[in-house]
Amino acid sequence: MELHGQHVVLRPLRVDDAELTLGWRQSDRATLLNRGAASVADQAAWIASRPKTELNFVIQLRSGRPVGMLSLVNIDEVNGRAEPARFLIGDPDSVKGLPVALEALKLLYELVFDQLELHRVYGTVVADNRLMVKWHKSLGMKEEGRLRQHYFIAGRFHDGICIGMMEDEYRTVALPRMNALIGAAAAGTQIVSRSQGTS
Amino acid sequence: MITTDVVDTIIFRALEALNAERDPEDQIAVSSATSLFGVDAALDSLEFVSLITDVEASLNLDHGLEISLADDRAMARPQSPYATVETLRDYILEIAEET
Repeated sequence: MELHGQHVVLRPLRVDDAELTLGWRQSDRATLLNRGAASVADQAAWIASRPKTELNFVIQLRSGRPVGMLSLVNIDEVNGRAEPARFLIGDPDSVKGLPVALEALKLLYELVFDQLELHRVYGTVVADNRLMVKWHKSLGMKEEGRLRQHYFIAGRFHDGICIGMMEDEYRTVALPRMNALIGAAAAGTQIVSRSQGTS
Repeated sequence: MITTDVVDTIIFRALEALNAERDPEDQIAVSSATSLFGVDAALDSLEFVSLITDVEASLNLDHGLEISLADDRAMARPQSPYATVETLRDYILEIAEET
């Protein structure tokens, strides 16, 4: 399954993405994600063993360049819920000036609510990852609780912030806000591109 | 009526909050010309959304202005209101006047 947007494509994560994605997971930007594999072989084995309750994607630019990853895990059709996870822009220089992260999340939410017809998305973010917490809350998620000392990362325990969003909140809050941010940001990018004679 | 200086201060404060999360050698240069979103932007996507959220919160809590900076009005403009501090400030002043 591929998800196509104006700026990005979400395509399935493959075993041959192991080296690339391991590099992203071991970068400083991924410090506050759960600990990942330690070697390319481990990463390949991890990718190959993903269960059917997960959809794992590589975020690609329209040019085909892979720039990040994003997953939907714990897909539960009985209870109508799923968890966006492993959201990481691994190649920030390549996405500068493009609303890549915004559109990638929007495509994932469209999958959840329009294609899978689920009722709710939810997740837990490391409390110290303040920008990510604010990002999700600004894009429609609501804070639903706090799990004390829920993660052990970089030698110490961290609280987890529980967040969630229902379908109606997605349609009335998140989607219009994401559309506006993507549209207005893209308008700025096009103006810059035209002024530089690149399009 | 909210003034240019007040809006500048709100946006600068939001940028300073982002700087507090950054390494000392990687600080955003805060000025009216600071590029917020675009090829030359000083901010990444997470920081950009954080800035918009902080500015909206400050306009609401400190000045009683319930303004969304991310709605159809922003999308409909020929030039992005998010390009620089200056364009964002002008956009805020414009929609504050309509409110």
